[in-house]
Amino acid sequence: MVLTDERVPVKSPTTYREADAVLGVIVAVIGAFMLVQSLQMRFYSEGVPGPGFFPALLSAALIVLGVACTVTRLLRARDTADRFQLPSQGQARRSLSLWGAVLVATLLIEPLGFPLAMLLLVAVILLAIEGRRGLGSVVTIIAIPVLAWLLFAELLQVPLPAGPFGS
Amino acid sequence: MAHALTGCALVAILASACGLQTDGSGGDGQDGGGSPNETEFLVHTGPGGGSDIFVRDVIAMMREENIIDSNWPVRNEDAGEGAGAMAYLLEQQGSADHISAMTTTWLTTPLTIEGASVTVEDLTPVAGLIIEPEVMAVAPDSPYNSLRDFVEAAQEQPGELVQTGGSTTEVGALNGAAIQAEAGAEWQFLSFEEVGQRVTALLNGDADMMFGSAQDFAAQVEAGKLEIIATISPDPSPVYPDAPTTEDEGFDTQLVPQVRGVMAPPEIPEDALAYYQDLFSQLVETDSWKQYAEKNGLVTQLLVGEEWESYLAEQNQLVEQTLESADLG
Amino acid sequence: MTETLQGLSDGFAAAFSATNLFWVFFGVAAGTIIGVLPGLGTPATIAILLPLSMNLDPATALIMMAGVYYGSKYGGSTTSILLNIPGEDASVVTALDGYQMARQGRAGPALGIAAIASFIAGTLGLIGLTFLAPAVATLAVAFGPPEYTALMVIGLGMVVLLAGRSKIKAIISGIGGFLLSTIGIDLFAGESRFTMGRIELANGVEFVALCIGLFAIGEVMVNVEEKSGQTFVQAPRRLKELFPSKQDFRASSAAIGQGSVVGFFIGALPGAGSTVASFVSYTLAKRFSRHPEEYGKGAVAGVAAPEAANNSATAGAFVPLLTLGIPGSASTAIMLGALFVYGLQPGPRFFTENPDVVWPIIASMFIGNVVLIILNLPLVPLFASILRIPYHILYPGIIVISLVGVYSINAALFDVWLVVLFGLLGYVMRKTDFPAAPMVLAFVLGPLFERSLRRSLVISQGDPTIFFTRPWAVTFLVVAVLIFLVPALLGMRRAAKSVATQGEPGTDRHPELEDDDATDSDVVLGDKRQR
Repeated sequence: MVLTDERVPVKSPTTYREADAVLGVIVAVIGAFMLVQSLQMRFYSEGVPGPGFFPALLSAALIVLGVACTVTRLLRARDTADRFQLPSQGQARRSLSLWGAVLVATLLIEPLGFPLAMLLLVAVILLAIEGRRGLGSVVTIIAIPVLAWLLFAELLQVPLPAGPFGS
Repeated sequence: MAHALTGCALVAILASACGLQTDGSGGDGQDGGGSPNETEFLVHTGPGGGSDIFVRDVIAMMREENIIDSNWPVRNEDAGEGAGAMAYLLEQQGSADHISAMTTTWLTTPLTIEGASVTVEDLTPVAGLIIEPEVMAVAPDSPYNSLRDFVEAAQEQPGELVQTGGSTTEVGALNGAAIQAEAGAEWQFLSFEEVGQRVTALLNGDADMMFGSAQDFAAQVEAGKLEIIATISPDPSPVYPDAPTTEDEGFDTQLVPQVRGVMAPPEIPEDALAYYQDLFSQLVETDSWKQYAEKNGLVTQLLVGEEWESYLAEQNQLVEQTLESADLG
Repeated sequence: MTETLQGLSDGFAAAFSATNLFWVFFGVAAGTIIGVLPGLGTPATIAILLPLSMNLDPATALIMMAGVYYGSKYGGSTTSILLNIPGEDASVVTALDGYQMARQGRAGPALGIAAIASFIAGTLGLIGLTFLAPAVATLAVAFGPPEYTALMVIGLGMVVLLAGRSKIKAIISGIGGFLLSTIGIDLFAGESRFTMGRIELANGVEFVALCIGLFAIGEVMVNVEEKSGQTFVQAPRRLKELFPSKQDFRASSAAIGQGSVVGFFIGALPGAGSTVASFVSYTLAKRFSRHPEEYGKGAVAGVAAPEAANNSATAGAFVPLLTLGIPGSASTAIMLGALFVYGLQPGPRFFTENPDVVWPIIASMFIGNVVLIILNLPLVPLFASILRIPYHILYPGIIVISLVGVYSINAALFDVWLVVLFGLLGYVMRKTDFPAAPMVLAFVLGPLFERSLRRSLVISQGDPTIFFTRPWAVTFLVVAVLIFLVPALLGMRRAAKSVATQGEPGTDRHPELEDDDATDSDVVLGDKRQR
């Protein structure tokens, strides 16, 4: 383990292999689910592949490949470490809270309107996630939604939900 | 510095464009509550689609004939073969500023597509404008010279001949299904999203025939690359009066016409409704319209108010029946 | 031939009128600006500007629209390169390498090569349109469903070529994309698939939403893991760094040539447009490159190829339109509509009956191409300097513009939700080493493959041998075998050999070189290897 670089995760290389194996299982399960859905449609109709044909075949392939993924990973002993790095707690917290903020902002688009929702989003990002206070941040928080509004709603006449200000 | 200037120039050009675009944004409605301010004309196809072109043509003609004096914006709601447009129109309940073009698709979609819950009965009919009789096209070297020929050949080789068209629930497909049922014949249906692809299939022999509008085939027929051998309707087509009709050929099954009309949201104010009905009644009397209809093989059939409403109800029933017998409903 | 040249020179004479020139400039400018904004694609842009054109005469109107067409394609590439936000469908592929180049401080050369490749390919495509239109049209019409199916086999096989280390994961990604593409109304059966009763899904998952989610939002999420320094990439300082170097040109020339040809032909096929063309060209470039491992990491040819392809596909799309009256793409469909409004009817006789419309259009497309490069090359430094904005200001902007942009496509909040969803998916995929490119590729090509296959079987009444009895179909299948199976077999032989000679330095392929997708969030600064 390298001590200086915060980004190397704490887990040891063996976990990477297991991670891939788990992923393979997840994929296979998704495939199985999709297969069940696909079989509810007609597989063949009037001598020609029907709507269920491709979805069913694809889902089946997904199951097969998911299993293959798991199996190959488990079989490859002592391999050079799979080189993807799962994020550390700190990293994941940042990225997922960003995503959470976007999620909430999207929820607020209808009730509050685009400009306000986006304003809140940028505010949360700059102030909470990035922790930058100060004039620059304030300007940005206002500027970005306004710019977006000008470009899309005014210039391109796209009907954006305007929320309680309804324009 | 240079790029700052170019940047400014670009923005200036674009700004002037927007100024040009919103010419006469005041609309041409009269005063008084409930009359239209700035009308938005809705279509259920994307830009370039059949209804889209039709509506743009209509707006252009109305302006040319001074029936309206501003440029109505066209809005495309092309989700789900009309379902999206119908849902949108429903949401505009009570508005005087929204109308939509409709076609027979609006009748078939609620019956065939899951999630399409709005029907024409939930909306306000404004006016029916035209019927677009379909015609039957084949390649010049085709062995079929009439609808009869084709049907008889199909009876001898069930499941081998190919009709091309759009989705399996579009008018051409429905009529094909109806004729197959009546004649006890069977042929395949080849679906393509775009008219261009269908015509290509006819040209290269992948398909044997197609039911489509006169406009679909006009360019090819003029160049001698396709032939029109029948009209799929009991009445002759204005563009191809010599093409035998289905009645001539001895088919009396009820056929579904491609209808084009205008619908409005539920509870549209009375004066707005009257205003629109008046507009369209004027339109079909103009020279531009008559030329347009003739050129494109459209049969003008102005139906307003109750006539239009009952016509729609009739068509709805017909469509339902046809879908059922074709096993698609 | 002389007739053609005569027509062309007449066309140029007409096109050089002050009005026409103004409208070409306007079209290109407007198109570029709108193209830069994510969400609105070329067809929508043209539709927006359509009312303006109603006041002009037909040739001028079409000239303006042609300008818009080019402009928006180029604008789309700009955001793809700078921000990993595909501005429209066809610029998705440009993002693969273009964005990586930007991260390496090479945004200027990327934008420059995009413009230049577009210009060269556009010109070549137009030359093709001018002289080869009738011949190509005949070919395009001969293409039926079996041919498309075989072509798509080549296309989909490329999923494997786009794979990084794990071919299995790449294929899984691809299958995921293919499955996503089945959501919607099945045209053939009139049945809905996986739409869960929602009308918004009736037309399928919105492609731009998928791309923006996977690429733009996913990327931001990855970058956000670390509190960023001032700028996240070293913006180019010296003027020389702002433009492509001689090596860049040399590396791209083959890609440009190939892209021009491939793009033109694919663009001419009704039903296949510039998106397909850019994918195919990119993968061909990678497949035949001497350094395929560089693709996905900032290979300049990886920008040149798709850009060339999607511009000459633009010209190609006009072939069936002007010779047969059959639009080759959504944008040309709109132009067709515009022509109808003018009372014109493009068809097989169009060239001969309306030369006064056709030739000025073609001439203006040449001019438009030139205007594009005149207007945009000087803008490259301006655009590139966008990256000098500190990332913590830039990325909220990216997110907001993405959300608003996607909304503007269908005025549907649902699409915005899709972006949120795919953003998370994109992030997870990056972290678990599932490449995103195959997913997008399969999403685009999958439906074409499925529909063509089903149509072929309708024509042949269920008989699968139709693919082997039609000449072009067989040809493409053979090509597919050559492109894919052969190297796979060779690869397996080499792998077997290396097992036998294990331990010898130099014979093993270093796993790093196979890693095509930048899965690390390592920021690679300035002096990345210049090749």
